[in-house]
Amino acid sequence: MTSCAGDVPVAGLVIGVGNPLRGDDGVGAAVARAVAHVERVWALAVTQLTPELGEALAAAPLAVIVDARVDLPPGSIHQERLTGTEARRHAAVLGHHLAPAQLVDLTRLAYGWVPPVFVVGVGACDFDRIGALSGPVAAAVPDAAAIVSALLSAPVASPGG
Amino acid sequence: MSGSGQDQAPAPARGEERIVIDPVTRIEGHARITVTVDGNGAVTGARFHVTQFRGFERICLGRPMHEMPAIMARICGICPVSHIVASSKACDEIMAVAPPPAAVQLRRVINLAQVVQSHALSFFHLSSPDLLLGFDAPAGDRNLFGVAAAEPWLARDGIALRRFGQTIIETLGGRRIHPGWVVPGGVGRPLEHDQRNAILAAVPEALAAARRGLRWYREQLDRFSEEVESFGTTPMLSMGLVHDDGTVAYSDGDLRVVDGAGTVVADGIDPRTYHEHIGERARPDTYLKATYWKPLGHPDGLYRVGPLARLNVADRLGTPEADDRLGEYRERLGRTPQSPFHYHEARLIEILHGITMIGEILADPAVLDPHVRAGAAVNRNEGVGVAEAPRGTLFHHYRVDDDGLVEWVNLVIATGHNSEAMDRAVAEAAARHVRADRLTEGMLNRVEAAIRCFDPCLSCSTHALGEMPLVIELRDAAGVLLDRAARP
Repeated sequence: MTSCAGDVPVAGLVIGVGNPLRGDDGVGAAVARAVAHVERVWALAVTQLTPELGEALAAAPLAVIVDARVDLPPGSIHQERLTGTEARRHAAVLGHHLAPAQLVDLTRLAYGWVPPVFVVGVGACDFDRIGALSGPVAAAVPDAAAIVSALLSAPVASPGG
Repeated sequence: MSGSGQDQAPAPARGEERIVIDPVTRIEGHARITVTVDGNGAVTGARFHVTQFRGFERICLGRPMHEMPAIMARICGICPVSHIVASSKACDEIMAVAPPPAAVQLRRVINLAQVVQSHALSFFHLSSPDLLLGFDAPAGDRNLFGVAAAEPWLARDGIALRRFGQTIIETLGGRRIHPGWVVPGGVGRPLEHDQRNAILAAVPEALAAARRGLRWYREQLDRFSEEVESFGTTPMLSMGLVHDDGTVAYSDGDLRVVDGAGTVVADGIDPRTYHEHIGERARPDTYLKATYWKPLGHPDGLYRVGPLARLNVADRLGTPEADDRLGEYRERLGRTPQSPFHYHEARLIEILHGITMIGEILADPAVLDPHVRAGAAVNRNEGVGVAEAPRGTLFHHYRVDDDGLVEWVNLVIATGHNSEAMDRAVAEAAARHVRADRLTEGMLNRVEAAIRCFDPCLSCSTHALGEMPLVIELRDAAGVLLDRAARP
């Protein structure tokens, strides 16, 4: 899914992470879909973070990663700004996917720059439904989308990448 | 299957000890290596064990034939395209139809895109850390992060080549992983003009990245002469698909087999008759199904498949620049190189060739023809489909009833062909590099790297190893700990 408008510079990149076939795990994709219509937003829905996303991240002035979280009450929303650290880069390098901080790290190393990156987590509880979010998580999608939109429109300090 | 011992190495003989590397890292799937050493610390043998089980032959029973490509796409997250191509070709056979010419070309394009992106993953993400940083570099640095820190362009080129191939797969197939666009009788929808132009526009950048990677690799090769000579150089057969004119084939063609000296052993073999020529054997210590060339029996009929073998069997690739690089490769390494280390260079040459071929195929306006699918019901009860997957020749063989319900399935996966060649490589690398009285990370990494040359894809299913610990203990016959190596 993308709403990147050709040569028009994007205001921000939104990466919704998760598998829509696994119930609430699809909340990242749902939020990405909800903001895809916003002007100059480049919205991607991916099942996991991979090194290839570093290209998109390095090309964006700001990025928001949206993912489900099992450590939050269902439907609650948490946001934080990421800074990749050297200590984080060594974990889980055997697989094909990356944690958000690792993606930030890898992007900085490979492309010499990384934009401000925020992670928006949505509390999730039911991963058995096929293609459907649970009630509280579905109800949180508009709020999460509003938070993402606000992050994309607010001025942020340079990360000094 | 528990208790059958298929994930266990043979018990060591009296006086022998066993070193276990578990998991083997930076490969696609879960496996372990066991190395046995005698009482004097000399390596006496080594085995590569695949410890996960794939049951797709059973899962598919009773399913309608037309579902098979979509089901088979789920067999592997790395090379689903090769599976849907082989599966759809098997269904073409059952329907007794020939896909329209544009569909044949589009299948070629998506399979080549798969080869490019998979080879880029293997070389740039999984193997370049060893080549750039050295086999003895700290394990924590031998990954894509270490590459990006030391040579950012190398990481960027790997990412760009992956993106090139995956974007083509997404453009044609609708998504990057598990596309369902290749179907019995052809492909699901024709290629749009704008889609073609977008792919063609990306070709020059991808070619530039492929050239840089190949040039860089050749500059590094002299540093690894010891590994080149010790990663399983036993001469054996090579098998792959070639067109009638001797050029390499990926989505069609006939089987050709050459021996270690380059002599053609078999040629023009209709891949639909694979079972007359290829023997399959199960082994007690691995779930990987091994194969051999029946006319020569086992073990004389052991062979390799994949990039190294394809370049060995083909007269040429068929694109000028890649053929120039192939000529240089053969001038330096001989007509049929036998060291698996040269899989790396063969892979890079295939990336160059694949990108070029994609550009050539798409430059022909005929590829935009809207007629892309032939339809029919069940006209035969049996079909075999073959394709060259990134790792080698892939067979799908189905039998169906008159209603098209699947009754029997046999899959011969590329990595299975290489099973015993990988064993030989592990044994040779272990004998050369492992000093049993003092294990080092570099020793063990070289044994793993011998496997990585083949780029095995073990489960043919989606997986991620995640954060896997590794502890290796070396004990003498009395159980006294001689050495211990741990990977956190």
